[in-house]
Amino acid sequence: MRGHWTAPGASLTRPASLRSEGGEWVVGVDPDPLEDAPHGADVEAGHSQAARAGDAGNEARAAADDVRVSSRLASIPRRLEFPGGGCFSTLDNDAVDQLLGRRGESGEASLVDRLERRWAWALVAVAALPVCLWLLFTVGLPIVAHPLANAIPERAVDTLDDAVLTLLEEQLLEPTELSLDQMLQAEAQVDRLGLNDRVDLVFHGGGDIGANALALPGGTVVFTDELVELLETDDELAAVLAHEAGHVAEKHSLRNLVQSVGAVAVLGWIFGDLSFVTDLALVSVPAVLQQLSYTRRFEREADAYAHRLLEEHGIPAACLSTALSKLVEQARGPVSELPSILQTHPGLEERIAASGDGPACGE
Amino acid sequence: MNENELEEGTGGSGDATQDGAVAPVGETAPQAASEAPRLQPEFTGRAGEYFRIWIVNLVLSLLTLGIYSAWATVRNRRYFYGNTDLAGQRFDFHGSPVAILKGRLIGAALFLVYVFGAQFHWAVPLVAVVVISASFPWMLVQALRFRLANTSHRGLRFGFQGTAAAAYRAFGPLLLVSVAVLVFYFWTVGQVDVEDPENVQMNTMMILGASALVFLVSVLLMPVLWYRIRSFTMNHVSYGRHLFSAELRQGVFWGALGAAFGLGVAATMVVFLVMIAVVAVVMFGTGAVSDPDSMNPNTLLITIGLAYLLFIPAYLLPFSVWHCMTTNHVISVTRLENLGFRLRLGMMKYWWIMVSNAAVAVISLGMAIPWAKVRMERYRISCLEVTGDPNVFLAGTRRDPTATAEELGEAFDLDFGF
Repeated sequence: MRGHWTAPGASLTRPASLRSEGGEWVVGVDPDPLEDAPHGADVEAGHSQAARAGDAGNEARAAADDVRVSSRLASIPRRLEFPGGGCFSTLDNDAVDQLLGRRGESGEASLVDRLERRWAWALVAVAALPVCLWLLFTVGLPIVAHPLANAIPERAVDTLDDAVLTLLEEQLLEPTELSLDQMLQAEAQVDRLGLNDRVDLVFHGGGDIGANALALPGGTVVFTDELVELLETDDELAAVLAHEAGHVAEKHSLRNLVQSVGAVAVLGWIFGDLSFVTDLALVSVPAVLQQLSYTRRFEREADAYAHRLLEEHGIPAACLSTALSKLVEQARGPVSELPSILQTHPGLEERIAASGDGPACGE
Repeated sequence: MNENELEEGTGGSGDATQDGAVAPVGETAPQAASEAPRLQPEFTGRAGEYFRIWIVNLVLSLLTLGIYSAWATVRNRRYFYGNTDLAGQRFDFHGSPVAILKGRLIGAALFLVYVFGAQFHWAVPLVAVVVISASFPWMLVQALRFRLANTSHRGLRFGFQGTAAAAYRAFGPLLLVSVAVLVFYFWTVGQVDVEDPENVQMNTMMILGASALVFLVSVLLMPVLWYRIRSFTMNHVSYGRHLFSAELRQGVFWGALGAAFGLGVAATMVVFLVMIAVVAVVMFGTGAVSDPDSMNPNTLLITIGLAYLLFIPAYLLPFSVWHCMTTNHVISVTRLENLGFRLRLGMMKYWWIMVSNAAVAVISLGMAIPWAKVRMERYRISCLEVTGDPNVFLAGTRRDPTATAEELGEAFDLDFGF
């Protein structure tokens, strides 16, 4: 087969051919047409020194088994490295494979090469890509997120609660203006649901977020004044509390963090190194959508947790629906007009339906 | 072969008798280089072929939960190197996937510490920035050493002869200044209570002033820093036993900054005018001017959103100008013994390729990324010209070979996008 021979120790590369002789591979270097041509002292010195350094005769031979052959990749040249350091390179990949014949190609590289060579496999891969991503995002990352979220020590999580709460107090929340009775009424629900050792209820004026409840990873639950005033009844307060306790028990904020970071990392690795435009369109936007789908899933989980907890304590699961309806009613604004894929929470109808056919709230 | 075009009578000495010493091979005077043969490097990669490699390796990486990604990286790199042709011979990449995997695991661990740390303490990102900046010279040397030592052409390996200590000497102080500026900025912002109603104006002024100062200092540091970094890297690249040399001029970097800035401002202004015109046309067209209430707010939002897309090419323009002007200069003043290089990237062409590549990549949901990469590489290589004879280089390391081998054993690829 035709190719080029690079003598050991120098960049001097000449056209050559390789043939198999018994168990040996022999490289024959073409005669140099420049041998007799007059040329400059520098080049001559360079050539001759290169030739000397490489000890390049017109022939090199080695036992076939001693020659290291690079693995095949698309149509790039194959490198046949001879024991002395010389190297024969050729574009004739098929001839090299034929020559290798009995020796065959080694392991994983040749398998991958066979996959890469066929359009059929490429199309399979194209179809497999969204499936892989979907599985990774909906099954893989959530599985990984669980133990990771659990591995974060409780003390660290409590510190996190303090930091987040301080930040919220500075930027968003206002001091509470609830009466002592109102606070006691809400506090009583913590007792009623048996959440004393898991939930730490605090009250704040809602400011811009209005009637709302927040659960921080360490178990701090914030009720806004507006929420307590809006809900009035014990059962509804207990229902919202149960929902937030679900977020805490299931470690949703930590899992959300792990999963969202994972999604960004995976998408960034696949699509991220072209320019910031592709970063934005193919990494950031899908990652945000993915994160929203996680939060919707967490809301459903927290709802289900609340339904169980409420029923355990003889409170109709429907109370959560009633409370949610009130919240949605007063919060109706541009956000609720967004398509469901852009929502942080599942739709109200879906959440009400999920509460089942139990007794109505207040009965 | 075009070696017989070589006609050299001046300069250089054929007296290469000291064995093992750095060979004065091809020590040609620059004027001789103009008569040396011109070599046009070529990128022979094809989009279809690369697409298959890309997608297959991507899916394999996902199926192996990322482990295979190191092997995938090697195959991707081998494809690009192996399709880069200079004087009839291709480049080769020899990196070991395990070294890449090692670097990747270290990178992933640091990333996790950073992401989670940032949740628990506000100072973590700041500390991370300081640590990353402080270790940047070391990481750069590591990465270049790995990358170059695993690159070959005509059987000879490239190498990087710079040490971390030399890197710190070359641009450490400048990095220190950048970091100090950054810390100062965070400190100032941290001191200011934004909500304090009594001093709103004063505080806003302070933050704006600090931001402006930081912006100015970083912009003014950029040409110097870049000049030092590229000077340092280009002058420590080796090929066989030969060392590249490049006498960079700092003025070019300042010129590039000025051009990038000017064109960036001009492009932003044009986009603004277009945006205003588009919004005006839509408002007149829908009759919103005479009756503002009849305007569907979504129409306006969508119009502004679409017009905003125009900013993307405007942002890419200064980047393209800077990249082309500085890289053209760096490559064009580089020499390797008798070899001379000339790079002529056209900044408008480069910009157009970036913009259209990004657009096509997004529209194709990423499937055109391989095509885009091959297209860009083909353009870049087509702008390079090499003069001289590549046949006269000698193998050998410039340093103790055992030391190099040891370092390589420890080396890992730090390829996480700095």
